[in-house]
Amino acid sequence: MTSKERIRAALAHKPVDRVPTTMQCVETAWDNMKKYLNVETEEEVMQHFDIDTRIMDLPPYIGEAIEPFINEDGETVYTHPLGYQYINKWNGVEYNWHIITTPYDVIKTFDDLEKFDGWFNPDNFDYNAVTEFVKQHEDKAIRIGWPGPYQVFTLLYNTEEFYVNMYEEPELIKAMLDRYCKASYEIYERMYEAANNKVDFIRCADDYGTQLSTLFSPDMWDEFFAENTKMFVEQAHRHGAFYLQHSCGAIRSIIPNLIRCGVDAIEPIQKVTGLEVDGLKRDFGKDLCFQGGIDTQNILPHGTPQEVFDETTRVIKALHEDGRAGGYILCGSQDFEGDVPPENVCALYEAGKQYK
Amino acid sequence: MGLIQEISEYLQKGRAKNVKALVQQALDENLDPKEILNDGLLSAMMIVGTKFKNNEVFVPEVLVAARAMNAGLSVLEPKLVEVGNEPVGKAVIGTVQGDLHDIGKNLVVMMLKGAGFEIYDLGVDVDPAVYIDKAEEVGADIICMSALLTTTMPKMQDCIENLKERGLRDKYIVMIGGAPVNDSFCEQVGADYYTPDAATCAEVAKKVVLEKRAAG
Repeated sequence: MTSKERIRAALAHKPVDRVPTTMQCVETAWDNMKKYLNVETEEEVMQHFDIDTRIMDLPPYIGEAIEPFINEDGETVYTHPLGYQYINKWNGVEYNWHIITTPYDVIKTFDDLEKFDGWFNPDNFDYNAVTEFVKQHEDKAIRIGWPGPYQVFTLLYNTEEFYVNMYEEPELIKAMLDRYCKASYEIYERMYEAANNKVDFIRCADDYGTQLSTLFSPDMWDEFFAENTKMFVEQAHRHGAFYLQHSCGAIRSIIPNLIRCGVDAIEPIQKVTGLEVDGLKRDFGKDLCFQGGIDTQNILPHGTPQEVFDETTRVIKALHEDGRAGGYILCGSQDFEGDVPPENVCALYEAGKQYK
Repeated sequence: MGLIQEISEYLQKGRAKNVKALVQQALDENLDPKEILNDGLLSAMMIVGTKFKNNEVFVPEVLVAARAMNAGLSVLEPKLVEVGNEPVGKAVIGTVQGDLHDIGKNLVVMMLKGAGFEIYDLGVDVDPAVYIDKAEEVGADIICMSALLTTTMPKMQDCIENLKERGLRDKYIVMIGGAPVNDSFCEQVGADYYTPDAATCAEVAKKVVLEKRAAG
């Protein structure tokens, strides 16, 4: 099987020849891996582990140049193509970005909404790069996608105001979500077309969960996110791609809602309340493919390579079983962070390779 | 329904304007400010906290309830000062150095306020020494630290070591929380309490402060 065939089979619950893999790292973890493997590029790291996917989240930005600037605290402020400004903070182990301006805050009424011109502009991205990317990685499974509507709103809008207004101004919030989703939909449409429909899956990332539960109720999820999730799922399917929903946290209570919207797969399966892998496979394995599951909160940063190997084997056994019905893609339960020893990353993929 | 009960009901529904107006009405009718606080505002916030812990309500409901509580407190506080009402205790709280996540920390702030604490919120990216300096300055009972990242959790230990070096370890109750934090980490770094959610944090904080005070 090629990597592309393997991932597609896993997502379609068909037999796979080995455990399919993907790899997601924060920048510092990529640097650690390159150093450890003595290679120059992320591509070489992925080749080393025979990773099945290649990921392009957003196409390169080609709109009006948004130059970084230095703020009064001497920090470099970057502007993301989505419109929010952020700084990179070093915490002694890795960089984390910190959002400092949230442009949607000015929208307080329907009038403000009409006047607002800071939406995503689909013309600002280089879709030829998508065509090239797909050509470069013909045998690999191609994944696209960036944060979904919920997550984008936590980046572009004061989070507390967002939550409160979901409650107090629901129609305004829905109208804002619609406007954002339209622009986002258009960008995806152009990406699928530029890829000549060779995108294999899209990953929309929305962190709906905490360690214990969801941030808002399943009913509220339905009210604000069911329609737009359905829209992106249907778009993916129309272009021959699968839809993977990322959500950190304990999201068991909304899994049935996701399934109703046609979601094909979920990740990253953190080790949190209600997402125990055996129960997940038992209750939702027929409907969903699972990606991730190897604990980045404890075992990956703090365990020994042997512990990582054993835990990975346990998770594969539960979610991939004997591979006859696909249903699993191996990776960490989050991007590898800067505190994950490279030996543990190796142990994770080695367990995947050796699994029979 | 009595006025106090009405305040409680509106707070639980997150109706800030109603709560504010009713607290004013209660004061105009010469109701005891402490009764308005304890039986109208705080007990209602505790009910919201319990429902939050039981997954009956979620973050948006807690936020609107907290806003309603704050709206009521803004009217009530001058009167509370007049009658010399003392808070249950004082807590210094923040997300540890290098970590910028604050949803969980902010929920804890709301719940602690709801439990009657005076809160000193240091925000995010807080230097270990700053927690202690603030606690010393305001005469706090508790230091609360939050972290979402595995890469920033060790800062909790730095703060505790710093407390020890300054001979202040026993003076403060140290409480920790956040996604990757658990009981064994709490034990390992020598904190006093780990609590898994904001409502439990407030319950434990209130209990231990009252116990410490009773023990003299």
